[in-house]
Amino acid sequence: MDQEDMDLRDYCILESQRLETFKSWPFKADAPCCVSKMAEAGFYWCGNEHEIDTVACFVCGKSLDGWDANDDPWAEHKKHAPRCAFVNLGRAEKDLTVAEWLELVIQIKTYLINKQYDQMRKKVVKYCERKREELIKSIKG
Amino acid sequence: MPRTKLSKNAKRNRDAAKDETLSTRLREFDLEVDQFLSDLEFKRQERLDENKSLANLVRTLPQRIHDMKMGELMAMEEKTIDEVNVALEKKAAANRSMMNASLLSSSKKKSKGDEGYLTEDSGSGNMIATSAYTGFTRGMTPSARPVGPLSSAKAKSRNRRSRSACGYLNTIGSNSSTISSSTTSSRTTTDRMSRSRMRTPLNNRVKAASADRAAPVTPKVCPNTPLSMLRYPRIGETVISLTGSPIVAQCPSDTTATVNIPIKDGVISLRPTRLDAVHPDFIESIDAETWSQIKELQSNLNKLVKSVDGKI
Repeated sequence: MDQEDMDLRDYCILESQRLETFKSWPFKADAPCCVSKMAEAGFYWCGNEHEIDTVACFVCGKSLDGWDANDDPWAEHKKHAPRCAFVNLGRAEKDLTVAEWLELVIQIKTYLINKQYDQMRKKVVKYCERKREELIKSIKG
Repeated sequence: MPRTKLSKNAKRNRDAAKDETLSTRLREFDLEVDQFLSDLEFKRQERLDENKSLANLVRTLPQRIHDMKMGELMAMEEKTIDEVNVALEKKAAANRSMMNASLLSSSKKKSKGDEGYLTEDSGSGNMIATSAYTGFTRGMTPSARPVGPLSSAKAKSRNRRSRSACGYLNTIGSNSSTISSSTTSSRTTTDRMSRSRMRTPLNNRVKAASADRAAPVTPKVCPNTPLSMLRYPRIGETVISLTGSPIVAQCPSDTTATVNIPIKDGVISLRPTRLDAVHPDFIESIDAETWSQIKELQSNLNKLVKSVDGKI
């Protein structure tokens, strides 16, 4: 695993980047649950043609679906991920200070590093368990 | 009809041997896996530490940039941090002269305008005093006047507080707002004041991980015998010597069977590849003691070859 494989630009740390991820969305721009409000509340789109309303938070990674047109993205975010650092600041990107935003970016990076290594560890443990079984079989059999 | 009797013991022995191989192999396998996983953890920690140092680097950015809103920063056309900083400085200077103009035009607005002006100035942390400004606010420079409850409290109490007084205990008695401010922003200042400035320098050194701080280690083999199974230390592994002092292994592990003979100016390393001729320099550098050791080594190798030959 290399340093280069984790480019923060791929993780929607800017509102404009999050806005661009919304390939399709069931609600119109005048609904409370519109694309721009979703991006403002920290969500980026991670759905597909079958689940077009799946989004995730760029800081806490909380994934949510089953949205209604009248849902308030900020309120739902707070409800489902009360410990998210972004929702606890409770302000749109343009109203955050640079210091606050940078702290968030550092937090995201920590979260991503841990996630990456947890996944890798899981894979390694699974692979080794399989190999261990094979080893036992090859010697006993 | 008689048949060859199968000894039960022989079968049992075969099974026992099999079990033993299995348990040895499994133990080796588990060791390898553990090593790999701890390497992985080490790498994770390394990445996290890098991230932490990046965070510290970010915190050294000028305060005026930290205090900016993201919206303002993104609206700016400047590309690098230095450019942004210069632009902000210019803007601050322009604001200052505008403020002075308004102050000069109406003296009633003075207190209100001054407040805003001072806050921005102390926030930016950089003073570019224009001539009009110094002329007007003589004897009341921004740095002389404290801004905000925290800094005014600091300015008042700094001289009165004894150096040994504990800052945290002092704030407990006062109201809640003081406690919160002391625990967040000025925590480091108060902590420093509660400790003596005279420090023993030795106490600051990083303490070496001593063997007696870890769980006791029992040697599994007798390393002094002529033939013992040993392995090379892995990189980063803590090696504990038999007398208990810790060593960090730095030599890479070797996967081939080699013989290393230390000589006075280096090491002769015999590799398991065909050797054509021995360079006369090598012969010269071998002394009598090394020679006797090499002969002993040869007889040991011969014994090993003899006992293993034909079994593999």
